[in-house]
Amino acid sequence: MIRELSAERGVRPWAWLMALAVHLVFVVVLVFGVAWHQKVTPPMQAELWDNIPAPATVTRPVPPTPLPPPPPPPAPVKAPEPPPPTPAPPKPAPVKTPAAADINLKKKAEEKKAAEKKAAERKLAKKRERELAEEIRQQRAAALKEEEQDQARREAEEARRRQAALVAKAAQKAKAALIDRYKLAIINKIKANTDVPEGVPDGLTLEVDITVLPTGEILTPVKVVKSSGNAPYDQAVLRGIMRSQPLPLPTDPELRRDFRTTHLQLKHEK
Amino acid sequence: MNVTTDISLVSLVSNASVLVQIVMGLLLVVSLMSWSYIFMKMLTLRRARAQTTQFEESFWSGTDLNTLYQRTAANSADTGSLERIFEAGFREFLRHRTGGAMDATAITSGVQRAMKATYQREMDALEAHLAFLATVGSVSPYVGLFGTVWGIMNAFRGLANVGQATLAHVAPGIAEALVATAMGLFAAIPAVVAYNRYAHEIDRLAIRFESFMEEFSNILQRQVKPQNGR
Repeated sequence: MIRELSAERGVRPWAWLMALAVHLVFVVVLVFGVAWHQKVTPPMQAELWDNIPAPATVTRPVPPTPLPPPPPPPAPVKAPEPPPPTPAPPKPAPVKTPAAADINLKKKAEEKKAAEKKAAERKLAKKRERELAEEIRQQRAAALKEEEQDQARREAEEARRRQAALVAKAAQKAKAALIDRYKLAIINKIKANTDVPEGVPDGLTLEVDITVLPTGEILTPVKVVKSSGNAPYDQAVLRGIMRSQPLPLPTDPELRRDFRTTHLQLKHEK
Repeated sequence: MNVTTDISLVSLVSNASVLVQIVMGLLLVVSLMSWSYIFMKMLTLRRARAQTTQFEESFWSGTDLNTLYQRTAANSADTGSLERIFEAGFREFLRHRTGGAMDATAITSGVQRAMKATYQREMDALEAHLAFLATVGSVSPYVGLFGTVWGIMNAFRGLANVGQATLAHVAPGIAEALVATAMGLFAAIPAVVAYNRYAHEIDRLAIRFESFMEEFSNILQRQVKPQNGR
């Protein structure tokens, strides 16, 4: 035994080190060399359509047709500026040189001047009156115009609202069509997975509520809303439902929310 | 109910039941030991072969037996098995000669016995740990299998509590259990290969030792006779 130890003394640590190295290499190869993470490829699915369905055009959300822009508010009519009152310049009376008829003439001239002045004053008053009337008329017209604009705006809004309602309706319709399509895909998958036993009469309908996780897995138990009245058929369909996991759910998360609980009618037809 | 179960090596080991983990640990230790013995034997056998070849060369090169004996006795720490056999035989021979015993058959048989004793000790040293490798090779697959069977039993028992049994339920448990078998095989296969190889190598060394012993006792017997006749 002593001799054996002496023969192996220098070798022993090396042997242990090498053994450790072998195991390390083996573990590294296992961890990094083997693909431990398997990717589950989803089964490919194809939908067979007999004819290109009409709702396909509907499914596209109708782009809201741009409303004709409301007519630009008419430029406010420029009120014709009242001409600046131009007081008639008092005409300087012609100075008459003959002094005899001076007074008379002067009087006359004064009279004339006064009359002229009066006339001018009258003219001015008239003009002012006219201006006032014009102003009132303008104001009235502006009010009318404003009212008209308001009316137009209201109408445009109404039209827009109507249009929006139409668009929403169309979108809803498209969504309903999409939901129907997905429902059909689910029903088709379930039917493909269902082995209907012999002797089940045609036309049986089973109504179920399926609650689905976001991954397409089905929460058990599936709720039977209305039994078909034929227990073997019910059982077969329920088995088929469980076998159809994951269900083909829409990829759109918003649409997917509508598939949290799905009501399905499964009719048996040969 | 997750369809995509993430199966990695670490999770396979850490999710296994306690008994399976114990089995795995045991197998790991056994595997480490067997590999260390494999390397130890590899190195010691290689050295023994080299030393034997070297000594055979210097012995058959016609050197004087006395000087050879002096040399081996001087550095006894660094001698091979064959040198030790030679040393034991020649020492016995010298003792007989100095003791004055002149019977040739008595001397030869004494020398042979001394060499045989050393030979057996050397063989024992060379064969050390081989039994361990043989045991690992034959038993560790069963130990691994035991862990696997136990793990699968657990997997199926857990399955009984689930209403809908799918492959996704069973697969991880079985994968965990099978790791134990894999480890058992990993420990066993190199052990078996190494055992067979080393047993063969030791056999060949033993044949070389034995033939040397026969030839050396012949030489000694020839040396005794002239003295006897004198």
